[in-house]
Amino acid sequence: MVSVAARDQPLPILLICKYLLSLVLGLGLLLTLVQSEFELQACLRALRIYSLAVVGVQVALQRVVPEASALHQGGGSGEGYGSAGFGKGKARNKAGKLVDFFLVVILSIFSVCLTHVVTVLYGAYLIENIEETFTFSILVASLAFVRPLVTLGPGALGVIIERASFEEEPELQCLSALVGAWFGALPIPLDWDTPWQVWPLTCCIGAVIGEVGASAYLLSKLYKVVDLKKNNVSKDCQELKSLYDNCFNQWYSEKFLRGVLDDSTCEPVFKQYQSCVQEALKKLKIEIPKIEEIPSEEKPKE
Amino acid sequence: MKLSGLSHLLVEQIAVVTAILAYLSGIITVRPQPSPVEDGMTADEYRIGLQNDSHLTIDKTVLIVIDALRADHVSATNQPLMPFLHGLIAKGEAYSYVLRTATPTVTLPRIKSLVAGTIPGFMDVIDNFGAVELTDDNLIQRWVDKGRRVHFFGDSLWTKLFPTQFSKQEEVTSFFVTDFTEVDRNVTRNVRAALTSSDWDVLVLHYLGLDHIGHVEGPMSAHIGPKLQEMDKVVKEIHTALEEKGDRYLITICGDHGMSDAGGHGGSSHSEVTTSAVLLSNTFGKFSPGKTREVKQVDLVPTLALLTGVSIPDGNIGRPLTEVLSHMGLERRMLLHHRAAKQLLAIARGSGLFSANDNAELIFEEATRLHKQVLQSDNLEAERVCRFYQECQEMVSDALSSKLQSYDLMAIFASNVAVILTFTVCLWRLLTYPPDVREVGWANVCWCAGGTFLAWLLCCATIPGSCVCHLLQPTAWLLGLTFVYVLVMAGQVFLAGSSKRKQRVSAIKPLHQFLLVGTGFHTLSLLGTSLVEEEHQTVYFLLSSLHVGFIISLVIQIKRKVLMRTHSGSGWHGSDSFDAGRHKMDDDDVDEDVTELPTRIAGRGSEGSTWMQTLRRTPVKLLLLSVVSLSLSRLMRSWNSTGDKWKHLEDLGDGIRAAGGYVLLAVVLAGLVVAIFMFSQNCLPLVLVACACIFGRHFPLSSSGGVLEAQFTHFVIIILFVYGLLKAKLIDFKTPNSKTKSNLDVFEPEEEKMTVLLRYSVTALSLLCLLLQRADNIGLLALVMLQNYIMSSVLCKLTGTGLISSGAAALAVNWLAFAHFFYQGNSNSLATIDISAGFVGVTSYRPFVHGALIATQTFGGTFLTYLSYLMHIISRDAQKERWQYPLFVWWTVRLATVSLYLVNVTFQRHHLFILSVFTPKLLYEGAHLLVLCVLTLFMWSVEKICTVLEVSYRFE
Repeated sequence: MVSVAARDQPLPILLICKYLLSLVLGLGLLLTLVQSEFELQACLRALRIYSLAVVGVQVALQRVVPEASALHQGGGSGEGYGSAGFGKGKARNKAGKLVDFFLVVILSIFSVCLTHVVTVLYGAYLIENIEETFTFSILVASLAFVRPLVTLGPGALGVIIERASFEEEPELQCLSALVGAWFGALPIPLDWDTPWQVWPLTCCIGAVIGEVGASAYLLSKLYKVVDLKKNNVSKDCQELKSLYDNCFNQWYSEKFLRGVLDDSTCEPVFKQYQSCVQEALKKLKIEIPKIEEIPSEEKPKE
Repeated sequence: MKLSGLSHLLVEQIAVVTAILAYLSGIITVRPQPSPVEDGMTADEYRIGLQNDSHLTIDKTVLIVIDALRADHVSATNQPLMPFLHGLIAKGEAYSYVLRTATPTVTLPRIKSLVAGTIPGFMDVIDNFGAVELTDDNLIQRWVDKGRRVHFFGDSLWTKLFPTQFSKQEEVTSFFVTDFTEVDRNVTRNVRAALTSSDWDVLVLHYLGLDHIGHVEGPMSAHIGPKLQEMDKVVKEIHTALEEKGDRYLITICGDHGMSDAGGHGGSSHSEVTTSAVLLSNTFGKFSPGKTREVKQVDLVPTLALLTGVSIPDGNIGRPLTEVLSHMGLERRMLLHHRAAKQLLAIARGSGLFSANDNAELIFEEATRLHKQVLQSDNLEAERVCRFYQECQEMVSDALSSKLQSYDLMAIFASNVAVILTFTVCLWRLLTYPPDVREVGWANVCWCAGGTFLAWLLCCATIPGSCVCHLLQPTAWLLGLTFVYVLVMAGQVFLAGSSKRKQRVSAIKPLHQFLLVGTGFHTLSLLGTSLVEEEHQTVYFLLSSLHVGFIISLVIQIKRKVLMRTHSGSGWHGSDSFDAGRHKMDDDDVDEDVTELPTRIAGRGSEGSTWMQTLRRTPVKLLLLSVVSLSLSRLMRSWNSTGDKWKHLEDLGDGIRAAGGYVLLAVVLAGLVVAIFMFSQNCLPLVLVACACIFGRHFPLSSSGGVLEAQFTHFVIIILFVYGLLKAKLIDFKTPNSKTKSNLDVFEPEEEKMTVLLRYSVTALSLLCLLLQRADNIGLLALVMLQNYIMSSVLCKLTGTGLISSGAAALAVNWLAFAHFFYQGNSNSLATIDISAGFVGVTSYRPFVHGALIATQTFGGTFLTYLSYLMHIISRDAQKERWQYPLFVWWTVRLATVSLYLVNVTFQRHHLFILSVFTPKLLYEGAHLLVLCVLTLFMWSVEKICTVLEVSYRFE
């Protein structure tokens, strides 16, 4: 969080647009479903179009401005995924990119199939209703699996597992869509006999609601960051930050990579920088409990 | 008196069961005493109505009850299943009705409805097996009082209800479900004899064959058509014989209840609660056939009473069928309707439903006034009088039929409180597990008993009249027992409360959280009626999610291990944000981390391993096992569709049954082979013989129809169990001297003994379950056992690695047990209990044996799941606290559900679905509770026996 605030990288506007777009897309889909009075065929068509649109938006954004997503994975230890990141790292050549691209496509198709299989294992019919089930799989896969794949590259699974936090965009979207779809299954056995209780609709609506919720959450988070920037937290501490950055880079290249694990060289600079940021946060009355909890050993990674 | 571990649990279980019994005794069916209505009609006016009617008195009445006659059996128009009857209805010589019965759709309460016109309470289901003499006023008694000679042939239930009334009777029992023909032939034989003689006035017949076919083969069976034609022929025979005799006769054909789409009955689905009734008589004359109306089952009683010229039974709440009376003269009709309305009003007054100024009474007074006018002045308002009377009847009858259950609130609330308090105690004990053994002094118990007595005195002084206050009834004693227990335990809680503070607060993992929340959700979901009906969906969903959760967490473990290795190879570290601090300095020692045992084991695999070696690594193996188990779940859930909404859907079991022949043979064989492989280590020859006999039961070689084979299987299973006892050295036929010696030579510790004993018990029980199942369910049960095995080992391994706690594992087993209950095709409706399982290999009527076998068939899968998990734990680690802990967890969960349910039923006792959904579910919950009690008792005795023997060996 701090690093996001501290790095005055561009494109929050683009990010805001992206989240707004997904928000609008999700709400639009829900409206369409309601307006069609949950007529099954129309709903399925709308759901398929929506899934394609979501993937399309993600791919387009990735093509146009790869940094748009890079901003968000930068929070942790960006360089660490050199081998995994899509289009990142030093060995970034055309052949590698092509291989990555094909891998992503294959993995995406695989993820759709996997979703379908899991859905069937959850109790969907094997042969009957295959169209409905497949539409559901496409929707869930495109919301939850294809987008992280596009953003993070073929090694997305490893990256997500390694990060093990659900604050970043790809994980958050993935998780919220899956959880939404899971909760969507709950009203199916109720005997209300409403038109939207038909098999894929509840789960699909759940997934889309999850997606909308995730977008809203990300937007609010972004709003906070932008707010932070407006108040120029970083400016006060900018000097200290560059000082610490330099120190860290030096330590990293000269000592750490050669096997010296002692990181006490930059400790005093980091302490100063940290207290500066904390004070600024206090002044702005932003409470981020995480900052207090982070043990001091982890900070030098920044 | 010391209470430790399981003994404590047993005492608590007894306390809860008694509280539930007290609760059930608090639900009473109201039997209102009629308080007569003054109508001011004189005897003269009565007589006018009865003039000129000698040609309408019925001489011969025949009541044919066809058990489980569905409404569509009579009304199917395209290809009538009963052509003769259908022809009569179409020609306008017989009246046809669709009868709507009350729930539960079980034979005994429905017969009571048919003869007494009352709607018996739900608790009559329990009495279904032990019928006692019917003391309420009823039709049969009225006929007998009038001097009619009543002959009865059919179900033995009737002869138990009316032990003295019939002047001639021959009973058949309903307990040989597999017998489709003999049971009816015996009735028909008697009918033919009766038709030739004329020593009877009323003939009551109860045919059981159709019900048997439904129970065993379902409503689509090929036997249904011929059976209905046989019934049709019987009706035709009776009809022609009576026509020839020239008597005035009335034949009534009706069903006692319907048949569900799966073939059973007892629930409240449309096809179960609707049945048919056809009335035909030569006094009716010709009329134009109208639309088949839907009426209440109790409406038949006043109709029959009025037609046969006896007075309506006092307790009746039905109203006469107007069409049937329409051939009579106006005066007579007015009088009959007057009598019916009067009787209904009397019963309504008795039940306290109507006050004097109520609508129905006003209408009745008005109608009576008009009635008198009509009789005096002979104007043409007679039809209107009849309509008035009918309106009055309708109002009263509808109001009465919905409100005949009353509740002894004091007993109910007291038992609620008792169960909830016990649950609190139970929860407290679970949180401070393992509980310390504490002395419970007799003085303490006496004090608590005294306190309970005082409280009882106080309660009965303030609210007298409850059945709790009658010392001769068991309720007070049952409740007293529970309260004494609760008070004793509460004392312990307060005493121990300060000293005990050893709650182990460990980091709660997501899987653990999910299990806890899921169990809570499952319990709470039972408050909604449709979620009760579709409980299996909830269970399946949770179980699949649990599997997926296992798979995901295992994938994460494996993947993390791989990542870690690549990183340590490239010199990068600290990327694992979870344990960054810990791993920072010692990347190479990650493998020693205790919390990640699976990865540790995986790490020891050689670097350049082949894929087979990869598969054998523990986490990968666990992953594969989870996937297999998930696929098994999917396969099994499509085997039997159950519940209410999607029950009719074709499932795998139906497919197998329909395919028959080789497919069925293959499924049965495959199931048996799986079973043989699973139990091959427990005396293989005996298992082989048992499996061969089970196969023989379904594909019999001898002419006995499998009975002999089934009996032999029972025998083999008993031998197997005894052999297990021998193996475990619990029974020794050797002389004492050699016994001591052999024990010194081969000393087996207690744990070994328990494992062996449990293994043989599981084998014997599994074989028994296999024997009792329908042929197509044998494959399913084999899969259930396979999944038991897989899941037990997966859960044990996961517990060992600390991925889930042992409590969470117990919760998972609880879900699994429920899923296995539903996989078999059971549901929360009484209709799915497979009665035919009670007659496997039993040739005579022994209620206890039948009950035990049916219970084994219904709850066997659940019991096996619990037991095989316990066996698995004990075989790994026989520490007492270890294997007793799941029992405590299961008991707490069950108790939570039951106490929630008791409260739910108490507060929703006027709910529309109380009889059809909530009460059956309560019965099922009680049964699950009993299953756990039996399990605890079993484990307790196993433990005790093993310990006692151990000690005695040591002393020798």
